[in-house]
Amino acid sequence: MTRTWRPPVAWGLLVPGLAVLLFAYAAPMLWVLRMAFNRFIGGGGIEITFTVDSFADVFTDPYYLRVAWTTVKLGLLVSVVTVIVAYPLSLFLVRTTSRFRGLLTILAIAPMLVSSVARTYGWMVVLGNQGLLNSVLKGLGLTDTPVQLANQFSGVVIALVQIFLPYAVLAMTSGFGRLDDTLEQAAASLGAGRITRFLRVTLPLTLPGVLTGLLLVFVLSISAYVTPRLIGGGRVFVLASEIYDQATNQLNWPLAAALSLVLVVVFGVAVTVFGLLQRRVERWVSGR
Amino acid sequence: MRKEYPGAQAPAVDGVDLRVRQGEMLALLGPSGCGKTTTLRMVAGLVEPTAGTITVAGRDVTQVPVHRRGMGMVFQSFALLPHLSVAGNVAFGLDMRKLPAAEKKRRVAEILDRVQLGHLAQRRIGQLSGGQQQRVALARALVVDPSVLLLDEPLSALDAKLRESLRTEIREMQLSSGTTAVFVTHDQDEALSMADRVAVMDAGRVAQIGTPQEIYENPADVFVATFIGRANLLDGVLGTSGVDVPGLGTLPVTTSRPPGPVTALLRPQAVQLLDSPSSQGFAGNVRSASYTGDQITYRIDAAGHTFEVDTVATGAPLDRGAAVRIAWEPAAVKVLPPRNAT
Amino acid sequence: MNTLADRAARWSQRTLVTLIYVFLWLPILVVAVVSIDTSTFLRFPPQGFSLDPYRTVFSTPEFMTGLVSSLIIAAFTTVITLAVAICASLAFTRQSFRGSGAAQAFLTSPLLVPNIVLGLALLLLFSPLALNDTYTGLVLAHVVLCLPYAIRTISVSLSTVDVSGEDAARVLGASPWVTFRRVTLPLIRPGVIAGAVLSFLVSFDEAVVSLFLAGYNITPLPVTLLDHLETQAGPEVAALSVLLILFSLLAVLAVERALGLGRSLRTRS
Repeated sequence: MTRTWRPPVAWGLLVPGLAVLLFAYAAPMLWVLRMAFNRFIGGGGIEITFTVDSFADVFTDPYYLRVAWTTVKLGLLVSVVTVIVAYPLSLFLVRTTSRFRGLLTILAIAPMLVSSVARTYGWMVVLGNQGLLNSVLKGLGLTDTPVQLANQFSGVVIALVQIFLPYAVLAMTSGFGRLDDTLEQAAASLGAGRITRFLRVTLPLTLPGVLTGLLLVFVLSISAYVTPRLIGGGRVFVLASEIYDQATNQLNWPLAAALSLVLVVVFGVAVTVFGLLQRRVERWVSGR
Repeated sequence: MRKEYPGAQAPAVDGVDLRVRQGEMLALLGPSGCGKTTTLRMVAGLVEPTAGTITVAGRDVTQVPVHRRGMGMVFQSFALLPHLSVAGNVAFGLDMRKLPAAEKKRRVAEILDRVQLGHLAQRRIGQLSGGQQQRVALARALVVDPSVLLLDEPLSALDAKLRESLRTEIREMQLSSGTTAVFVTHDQDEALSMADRVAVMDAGRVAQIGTPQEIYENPADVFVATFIGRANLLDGVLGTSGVDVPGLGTLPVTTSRPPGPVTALLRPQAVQLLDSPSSQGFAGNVRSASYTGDQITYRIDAAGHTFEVDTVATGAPLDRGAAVRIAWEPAAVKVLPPRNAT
Repeated sequence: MNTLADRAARWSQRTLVTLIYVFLWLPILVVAVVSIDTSTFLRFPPQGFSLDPYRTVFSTPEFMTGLVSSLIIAAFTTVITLAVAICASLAFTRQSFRGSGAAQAFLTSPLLVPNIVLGLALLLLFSPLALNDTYTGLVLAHVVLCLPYAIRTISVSLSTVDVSGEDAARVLGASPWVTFRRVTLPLIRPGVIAGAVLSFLVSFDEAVVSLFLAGYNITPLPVTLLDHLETQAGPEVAALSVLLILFSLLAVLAVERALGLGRSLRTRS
């Protein structure tokens, strides 16, 4: 229904929100963009100018290239593994007729709201040299020397998969809406076996949800800071930890800003690529 | 009281000019999308007219915001507030008017008794049946002594049986309180049985306004004739001695219309079924019959036309194909502007 | 049909799902076990059982000042976020105006920006303005982070409420403000509660952006915890983590009861 309030009222209602965001979001983001083109003159000094020095540093120093590559690798690995782990769980939650379905869904999503610092701490305990995993392995006589997982890339991956699993489940269960039992039953009645049914019916129909989950986890993990810092134990360097270090320890703000822009670009590329993939998959699934 | 909206909201309501008399009930009747609800919401102040004025008892209220117009409105969905009790809903308008608590209590109790819901005052809205909710909505609108009572499809959310009994109830409440009322409906029976006058709307305009009888017996055009009741329509040309209809010859009529193409209207009740041996009227054959207990409606092919004919049921319906003759009083033929000429 | 294969498939699926749940809750359970351990450094299995770590939490001054800072920030953030989000959601759901879609996209877009970048951006702008290491700066930053969640939950509530109730109140003489307070607000209460709990939690648990803006004056609890984890991760840290986890789970239940967890967290409907 048409309302009697006119546009000025609408914009009036938006003023507080727009004001906060312009000041504490849009302005800082633009300021970062500008900062990347300033020159760092050592000891926390910054010359206001227009130079691409910081970008030159990022793209010529093999160290930063390696950090960028580690970040992308981490994003890819974590997103793929998370989605693989989340897939059976999401499928189960969408299909189950159990009366505990509500509870099971909460159990799968609730960890999302548990402090990520606290959860990372849990992984430190599990993966540490004298932690749960190594105790179990030693108890079973499988190994004598502790398996190095903490302070390692692999440990960071394991922890991030668990931390982002609820996000993936949330994205995938809402993307699996198209799944319809009757379709699989129809396929079965036509003589399709269990595996054919999965490959020809279930998988294509769930693909859009899978892509959404992949993208979400990818963008979350390339910007993760707490877990790589704690589990990585100062040995796993990613763009996020480098940005923090440059900004607060080296006080090289132009470089930190340039690294942030690199991260944002990786972010943007991922969103675009997944957007294109998603559209193609949607078209394929909807049969057009 | 006067309301005019020349060209308000171009597509929705276009040049509607209505005057509602003190104490009368006016029905806005039309198919969905004809602009009747928009008109009502403009009167309420919920929609702002693009142009035109709304006047209540000589006072121009067009610029008065909705909450200061002092009207009462019953919504199609009843729009009861689920977080308040029955009494809380009814008292809402009185709260807004800052009435003393005792006075408020008295008036709420009084109106709830009038709608026979006194015993349910403390119930939650969700615990009421559809009919009870409708009565609460009516009580809530009437308890504030509104200058005008507006009803937007007040019965369409209810089932058929309940609708009929609530029709009379609403009408009686309106008559006894003497409130001027405007109600919107797409149901012609509702409009004809409840309203003092009916305004038939079509595509944002008022096609005709008049008492139910005027509108039924002397529809202004083919749209009104077919929207209200059923009609046999015969296209022809008006000459000096009557309407020339192909196959039927010249039908004598009384009309003040100038000669030219016209559409003649013949209500199914006005057509009589004669015994076959008679030589009057036109010969035809029964095409189909529909029996509804107290009457039988035949469709009869005669002289190249198909007529709908209502007869009082006095036995088994005639067989399909049976030979009959039909006839009518010359005065029963009404002359309307030709179809498709607007 | 092949019932044996069916049953095997069902059981293998159940086992797999159970294992995934174990994986999901393992670190949380482990923290709980470690928190009642008597040893002073990280190890598993525990050496003995005691509630001393919990006593230590409450007698460690850093934890207590961190807790107070976090509570102050989260409380102010929640109140401001709710007020701003309610206004914005009313505009989005109750009016149609040019630019509505763009404004909505803008107000929810902080969700798409990596927190590490947002934190840096805020540090860079706020330190010349002397807003870092102040409650004003931290609360502003947290409002930006919480706004998308609150707008989401409140808009969902607003768009499911029947507008004709508001119309009815207005016809009966309620001014726009009275209509909002006596009709709209009671009807959208679940969404407002869910939005409040989520905002409080997002602010209370926020570590990365706070890390950039925290300083000598104000150190929110997650930042304190982060520092402690790097240096001395003993049972008292586990105890604190358990308390935080319990707090979060209570909040989850509150959101679930108010609006439904899935509906509240889904950023795109």
